[in-house]
Parts: sequence; C-alpha cells; structure tokens
Amino acid sequence: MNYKIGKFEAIFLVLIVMMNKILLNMPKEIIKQSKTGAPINIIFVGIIAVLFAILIIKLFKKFPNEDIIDISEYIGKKPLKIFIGIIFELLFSLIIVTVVFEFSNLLQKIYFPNTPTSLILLIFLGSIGFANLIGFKSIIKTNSIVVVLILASLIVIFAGTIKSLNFNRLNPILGQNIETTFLEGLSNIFAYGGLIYLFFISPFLKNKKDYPSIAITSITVSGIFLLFSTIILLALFPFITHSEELLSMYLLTRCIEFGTVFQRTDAIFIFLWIISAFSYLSISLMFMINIFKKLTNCNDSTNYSYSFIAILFSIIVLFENQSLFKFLETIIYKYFILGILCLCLAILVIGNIKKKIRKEI
Amino acid sequence: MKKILLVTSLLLALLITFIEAYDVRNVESLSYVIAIGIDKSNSKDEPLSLTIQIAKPDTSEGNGTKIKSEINTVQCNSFNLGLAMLNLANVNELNLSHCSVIIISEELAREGIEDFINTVANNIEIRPTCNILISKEKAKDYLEVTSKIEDISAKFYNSYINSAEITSYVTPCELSDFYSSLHQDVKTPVALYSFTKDDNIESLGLAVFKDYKMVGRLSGLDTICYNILTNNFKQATIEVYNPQDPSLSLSVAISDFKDTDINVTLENGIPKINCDVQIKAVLLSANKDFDFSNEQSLKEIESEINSFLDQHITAFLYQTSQEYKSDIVGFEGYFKRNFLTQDELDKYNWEEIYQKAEFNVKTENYLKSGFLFSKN
Repeated sequence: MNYKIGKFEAIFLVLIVMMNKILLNMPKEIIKQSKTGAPINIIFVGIIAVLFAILIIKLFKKFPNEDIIDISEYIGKKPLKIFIGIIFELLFSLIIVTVVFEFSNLLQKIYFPNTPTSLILLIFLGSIGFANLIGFKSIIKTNSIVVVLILASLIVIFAGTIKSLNFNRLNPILGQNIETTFLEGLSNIFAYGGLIYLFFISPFLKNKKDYPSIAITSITVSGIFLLFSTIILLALFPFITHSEELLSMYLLTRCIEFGTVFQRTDAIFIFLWIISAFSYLSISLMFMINIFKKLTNCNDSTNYSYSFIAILFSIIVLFENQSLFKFLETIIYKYFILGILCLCLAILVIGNIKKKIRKEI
Repeated sequence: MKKILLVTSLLLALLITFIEAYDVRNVESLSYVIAIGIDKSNSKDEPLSLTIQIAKPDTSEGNGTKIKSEINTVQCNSFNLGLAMLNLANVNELNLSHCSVIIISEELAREGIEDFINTVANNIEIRPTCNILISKEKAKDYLEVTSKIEDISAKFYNSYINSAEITSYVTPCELSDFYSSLHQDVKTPVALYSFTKDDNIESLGLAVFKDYKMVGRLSGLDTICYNILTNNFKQATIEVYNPQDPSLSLSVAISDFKDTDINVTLENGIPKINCDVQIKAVLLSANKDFDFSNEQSLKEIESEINSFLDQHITAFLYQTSQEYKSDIVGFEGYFKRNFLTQDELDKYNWEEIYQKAEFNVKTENYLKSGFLFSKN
C-alpha cells in the first residue's frame, strides 16, 4: 500500500461506506427508532458526527503518519495493538459478512431464485479477493468512479420519486416525543459509521493538510444523502415505520418511471449497487489485510485475501440465517460502532497526553 | 505467479457466470400475465376465484403479429395457491412482471380484500405501478370482454387509464399507493371503478375503501372534486347555470391553476377544515344570444362556477366523512401538522372526530370568455 491517495479519493473512500449503508437499510433503521422524527434526528446526530470528526482531526494532528493501530502500539505496546487490531478485524469481518449476505440475498430473491446461495456468495467474495490481488491503487481509483455513479443514482431516485411524495406523512416532525428523538436517538450516531475509516486514512494521504476537509466534507455529504433518503422513504411509504422489508431503497427504485420510455429501471440501480458493494467490500478487505499485516509484521500479505475470503465464506454458509444476519447488521453493528468510536477516541486522547508529557520531559 | 493467479481468477469468474445458464428463464418459456381478476367463488372450501389474462402473439392471419389474449380461471383458497394451480394448467411458467391491472369484483371488495391484497403487494414480480380496479360485475366477465378487444397488451390498460385521466372522472390508483393507504397512512384508499358496456369497458368514478372494505362509490363529478382536493386535477368539463338563458346550461372547461390550500384546526373537539380551491375556467358554450364579452357577464358566470364547485365539493366532503366515514383526501395529514410529537397527537382519535368535521370550501376561478368567440 505504497500508493498515496488524493483528497477526493479519500472523500470517496469514506463516502462509499456511507452510501452502502444508505442502500443497506440504514435510513430504515433510523426510521424504526425515531419514526417521523427521523429527519430531525439525522440532522441532530449529523451535527454530533461533525463534532466527532473535528475532535478526531484535532487528536490526529500529532499523529499525521500513523493510524489507530500505530497509536495503540505507541500507548500500550503490543498487547493493546493486538487487542485493537483484533477488534477492527472483527468489525471489518462483520461488515463484509453482512453486506455480502444482504446483497446475495437480494439478488437471489429478485433475479436468481433457483441459484444456490453459495454460488452468488462466491461471485461476491471471489471478486473482492481478485480486486485485492490487483492492488490498493486500482481499488481506490475504481472506487472514485463508483462513488460518482452511486451518488448520481441516488439523485435520480430522489428525482424520480418526488412526484409521488406526500410530505404530510412526515408529521409530527419530532416523532414519538423529544426523549425518543434526541436522547434515545443519540445512538443513531452509528449511522455515521464512516467515521471509523478516518482512523485509518491519515498515513495514506498525499497531503496531510487535506485531512480536516476530507473528514468534514465526507461526513456532511453523507449526512445530506442520508437525510434525503429518510425523508423520501417516510414521505412515500407510511408503512415503513412498522414493516420489515427486503431493502427499502429497492422499493423506491420499483416506483420510478420516467414516462413510458424508462420503466422498470430497478435493474440498472441493482447493477450499480452491486458494483458499489464490490468496491465497499474490497476496501474493507483491504483494511482487514493491512491490519493483519501490522499485527503479524508480514512484508507481503496480499495473498492472505484468499484465506480471509475462505473464512468469511465458511461463516456465511455455516450461519446462513436471515434473522441472525439482521441481528448482526442492526444491533451488533450499531453497538460495535459506538463502542469502537468511544474506544478509539479514548486511545487518541491518551496518545495525545502521552506525547505532551514526553515533550515536556 | 501473480499473472497465473489473475488468469485463474478471471477464468473462475467466467466459469461461474456461464454455468448458471441452466437457471436462465427465457422469454419463450414464460407466459406473461397482463391482468389478474379476483372474484368471490360459489364454493365454501375455495372462496376465491382467480382469473388471469395472458397475452399471446397471434400470426395466424398473416397480417403481421397481433396480440391476442387468453383467459384462465381457477377456484382456490389463496392467491398464491391459485397461481400455482394456473401454472399447472399452463405450458409455460406464468410471469406477473407485465401485469398492469388487478381487477377485483365489487362483490368481493365490499366483503373485504384483506386476505389477498397484502399477498399481492408482497409479490416481487407484480409492479407497484400496477393499477387496482374494482369492477361492477365479476372480474372474470370483465376480462372476457376485454379479451374480445383486438391487439390487447399490457399497455392497453395503462393507455386506457391514462386517457380517461384527462377527463378527471377517474384517477390512477397504483398498487403501491393503495397498499400504503392501508398501512398507517394519512389517507384511506380508493380504487378505480369500472364496468362493461356492450362490448367494451368504461371507467367512471372511484371505489371508496375504509380499511380493507369497499364502502361506497364516487360519481364522475365526485371524482373531479376528489382530484381538485388531492391536487391530481388536470382538466374537466362541467355544466353550470346560465344567467343569460336559464333554459340552456353553460359548458365550462376547468383546469388546475394552483394547488388547493387546506387547513385543519380543532375547535371544541371538532375539526374545522378550510379548503381554498383555485382553478382556471374557459367558457365552451356559444350561442347567438350569448354575450360574454363584457366584464359584468363574465363575473356572473365566475360566481356561478364558484358556487357550483363550492356546493359539490362540500357535498362530496360530507358524503365521505359522514356516510363513508373514510378520509380519502388525507385531511389527517394536515391535522397532524398542528402537533409536534406523536404523544400529543395520540390524545385524539382522528377516525372518530373526522366524522364530525365541518367543511368550509372557498373556490376562486379565473375565467376566460372562450376559445374563439366571446360573442356570436
């Protein structure tokens, strides 16, 4: 991973995480918790996420060439490094396993009802392994194109559904009550899970001065898209506060028709989303391998991707259970992200204090 | 080594893609259903009667390919079971992705559609843009009439509904909207109302639902009022009293001008609903004795149009609130605007208080004297 990434490539790297979360029912999870107060809740937690980002920027100022694993080693030597490394390995495994399962499940239900799940899983996992074999630079460059396409596809979805929206469905705007929307809703900060990737990108940046603008821009842009997706889902599907559906964004694409020429456009969106999932998964696997490399002090760890893929494939096939993966994707992921955010901030604060004390000595 | 791995991975990906050929469903192996009809059957054990209309290409006459349709009916316990039985009787696999209309007989709609509408909406092949239509007669009879129409395809129903939409006597009622209206929505559902007439079909008005049951039917004029209030109104022709010659009524073309402004407040536990309607109007009638070239005569007709619409919209609103007890316009959404939290809103039962609602309709129109002549 010698290639250094530019400002926009880094923004797109964080955005691909957030966009995939939007596609994979993140707005729905927020709606489920905050009901009609979801848009206000997203703005509220968005402001908190930006504050978090500012804090991360400030704390990383003294560690421009290090990621969270290096900082853990700096403050707690090898044991802490290994502990944090394993936690992140688990997080990225969780991301890959749930995303692959969700997308293959979607594909199987819509287009390949008679195809064995293992084959669809293999295509997904094989592709991300292949991408990692080609290398970091290719993944990052491809991701930049994919993010633009995904953002464009979301804008088309917003524009295509606008005529069917009933904004009266957004009332009452504060949801069930103030407590549910603001206090309990605070846990929805997990929606900005892209923050996690900010702990890793600093050493890869071409220009370290871009780090603040990368963090703020990516969180703001993803917040805007998350807000619009939530508003549109609420204004179009009143049942969404209580229902359980395959993918809420997929339901949106089914309602899009541009005159009599462009009908049944959902296949195009699914195609783009699959590419976006490939990109997101490749990046997650890339970080997974990078962490593994740091933990084991390996010089060349590229070929480990196949071992990781084999393990992840076995996990999915072994526990092929919709409710288990739903639980992993919602409850476990939510608290995992919250826990990791707090833990990493604590490490950064301690790291900063340690650096200050050493300087004074 | 890296090159070998790359080539192997690429070959593997290609292999996986192509070994799936056995799973591909070709157009030749599918039969496309263009309409589904659901009736109540005479059997107690199998309470539903499911009819499908399948489009089939017909090249027998040698005048190019025409599309003919075939009707198949089964009695069944549930929608999915009926489909399975129809699949058994059909050579090709039935595919519902081109189904453009679901026809439910009025008899069944009045008894309730809860048993199958959720199943239909849950079917991944049926498009959410598919229209829901209530037929006065049995859905099977309705489909038999449409089958006699030549060159029928999935587009037939869409074109038929879209062309009727111009008159504002009907409004499209898509499955997604119908399903949404049945689940925690601010409005109750409506469906297109249609019937057979000689050897053809005609749509006029809407079927009003409360929960899962049809509770009434709106006339063409009521549907115009409904479209005006829900901002779906495009254009329509109405007949109003002629102050210059009471024996001859005046034809007026009305069209949308601005969205209807609706305001709902609660006074002493009674919802006060104000509707400000703004439309454009053009006089269509012409007669040698008529003179609409001066401002005074235009104002008189403007006031006639206003009072005509006020009267009919008010009557329509009281009919839906008191007779049907069904908030099809979606006033609940406007009512919700008065509250910030659901806890505050939960103190009121909208379904109950809506029946006592008082309506105040105020129409304003901007009249033009006519297309070509304002005085003959």
